[in-house]
Amino acid sequence: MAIDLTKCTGCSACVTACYAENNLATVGEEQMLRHRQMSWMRIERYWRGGEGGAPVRGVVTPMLCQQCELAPCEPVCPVFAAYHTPDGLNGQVYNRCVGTRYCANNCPYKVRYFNWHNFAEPGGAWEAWPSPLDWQLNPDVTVREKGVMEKCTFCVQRIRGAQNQARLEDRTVLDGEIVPACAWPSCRKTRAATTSSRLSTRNPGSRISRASSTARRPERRWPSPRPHRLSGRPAR
Amino acid sequence: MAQPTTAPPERATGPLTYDYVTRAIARTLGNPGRGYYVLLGSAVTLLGIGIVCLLFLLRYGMGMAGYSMPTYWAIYITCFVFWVGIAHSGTLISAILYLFRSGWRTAVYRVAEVMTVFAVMTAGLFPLIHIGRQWFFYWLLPYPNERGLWPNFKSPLIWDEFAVGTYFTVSACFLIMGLIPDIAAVRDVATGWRRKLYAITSLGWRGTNEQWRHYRPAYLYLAALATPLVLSVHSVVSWDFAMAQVPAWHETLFAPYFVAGAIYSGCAMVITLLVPMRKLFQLEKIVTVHHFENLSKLCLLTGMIVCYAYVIENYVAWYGGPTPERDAFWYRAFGRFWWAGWTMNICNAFLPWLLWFKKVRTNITALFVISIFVNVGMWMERFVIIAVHLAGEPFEPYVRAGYNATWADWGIMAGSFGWFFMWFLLFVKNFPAVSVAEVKEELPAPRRAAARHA
Repeated sequence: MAIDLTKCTGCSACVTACYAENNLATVGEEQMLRHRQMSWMRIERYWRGGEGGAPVRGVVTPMLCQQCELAPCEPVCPVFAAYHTPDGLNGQVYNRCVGTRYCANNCPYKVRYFNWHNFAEPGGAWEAWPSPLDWQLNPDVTVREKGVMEKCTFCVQRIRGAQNQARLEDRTVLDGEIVPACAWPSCRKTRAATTSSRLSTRNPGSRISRASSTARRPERRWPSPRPHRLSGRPAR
Repeated sequence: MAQPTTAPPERATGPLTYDYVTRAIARTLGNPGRGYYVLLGSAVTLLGIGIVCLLFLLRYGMGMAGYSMPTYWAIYITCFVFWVGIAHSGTLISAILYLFRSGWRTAVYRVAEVMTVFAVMTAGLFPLIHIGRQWFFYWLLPYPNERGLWPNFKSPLIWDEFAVGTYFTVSACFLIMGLIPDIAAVRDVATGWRRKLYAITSLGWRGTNEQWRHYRPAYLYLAALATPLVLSVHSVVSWDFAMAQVPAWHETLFAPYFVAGAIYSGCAMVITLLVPMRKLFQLEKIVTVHHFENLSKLCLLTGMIVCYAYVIENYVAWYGGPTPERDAFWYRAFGRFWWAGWTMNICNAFLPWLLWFKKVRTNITALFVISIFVNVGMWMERFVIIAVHLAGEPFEPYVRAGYNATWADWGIMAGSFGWFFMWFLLFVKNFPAVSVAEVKEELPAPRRAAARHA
């Protein structure tokens, strides 16, 4: 996956798409004030400049789970709920999670979100999808229970869907066939976020990944974050 | 009921005798008066409040507590580390000082040990309370199951579970082992249901030469077994933090720093408990100023180590250059929670300097006040390390957020104090709170002098 920060305007369409795709709970005002929103994809805004008369400029950067290759969240989980899938994703097994929240403490990007209440309980005080909103829930994605940790999965349901389709048609997964919800169908205007195989020549995602000015989240190399960011300047 | 219930101390002055010790200690098992029941009632009430809060937590989720991203751990883990810390001086006083043959430990070690066992029992509750799905707590245990799933032995939380579990087992064995001769002593004067209780818990002790001959080495071996645990348990607890990569957690200093802090807070807690207890049970002659002075010397030593650790921690953060580490320490001192950071510095690093003065060390009121401040300071230290450093997230300043504890946090914390003091008060009323056998070891045998003269 690649994110072109030179194009990102911070429009938050990717955030909305993620909410719709992954059954993210809307938590309400009171919980928002406690910073308990569930946005797996979020737009971070920073202010730059302002020193020595330089103009103040807003900088936005989309932040999602970096699916680190050396993920700090994984070794600290006492029950293997956070684990590395064979194809390199940071899996999160909701069924196994007991909610120690150690993974979230150890995450340098703070992109793990905890179910503080039962947001799916019909008639509950924190119900996120009162009827008929529950009809919008994506049947391919689990609705999480209270007390478990959740995070961006790179839309694993779409990855598996494409893989299954390819297997049925007896072929390999095509370039650009796997598209997470946040990537360019929702990011239509600027096409900042794209995905593809890095080796593809057609797809903009691979061009971004291979561009010389690409930086992964620059100041923190060691957990090996995966999304590549194309940017003329540092991410912030 | 033990026999000499209301007999006043027979001699207010003069050297202690075997007879006086037995009577004075057996009197603690008698009617303790109204003050005791008021304390016990308050403890049970606090426990009740804690249980109600816990039920809310179970029903409505962890959101009832004041957590906010990125403060994923807060008051509960603070209390966990605080109580484990309290548990430390017990084994230090009973095991390490036993191996060093420090005679003064005999009068205070039982209280310290009881405090240890009950504090570990209290601490052990918090990791279960704080997890999101408490009803699956047993998934953290390595039990055989049909799925062939084991816990992740790489996770410091699993190390923690083993460290605390071992510590609880060994310190409970050590406590029970030390109690056997004393229980037998009160069994012989007790009546009613208590006699039955003591008959079972004294495990058939009759005080024969043969029994003592086996008892002493067994006690010594247990002391030797418990000694390394004093150092290991809090080291492992500190690795919960040091193994994570949160700035201001990820420090090699943490293990010795936490062990010193734990013994420091533990000794302070022993003083806090002993001062009212010796008043309540009129043990002033057995637990003397000398004992308090020695305890405060331990406090002084460990307090100086803690002070040194604070200095080094801040120095390294500054010396390391403009890193997230430095941001974290700046946040601790001048951020939103500056008051917590400075409470901790003042109570833990500055106040113990007073203990250099013998006048302070021998003044029980002053010691009591200082010990309360140290308890507050050490709780605050854990709060700063856990909640404040998580809230002041230096890697991702965008998510930096406040943290406001709620009634569920304070209620369960109060409940933990209730739980601890309930057990402690029930123990001191029903079992000898000072070791009869070992205090006597420090006294001249009653008829030896007479025999020598004859």
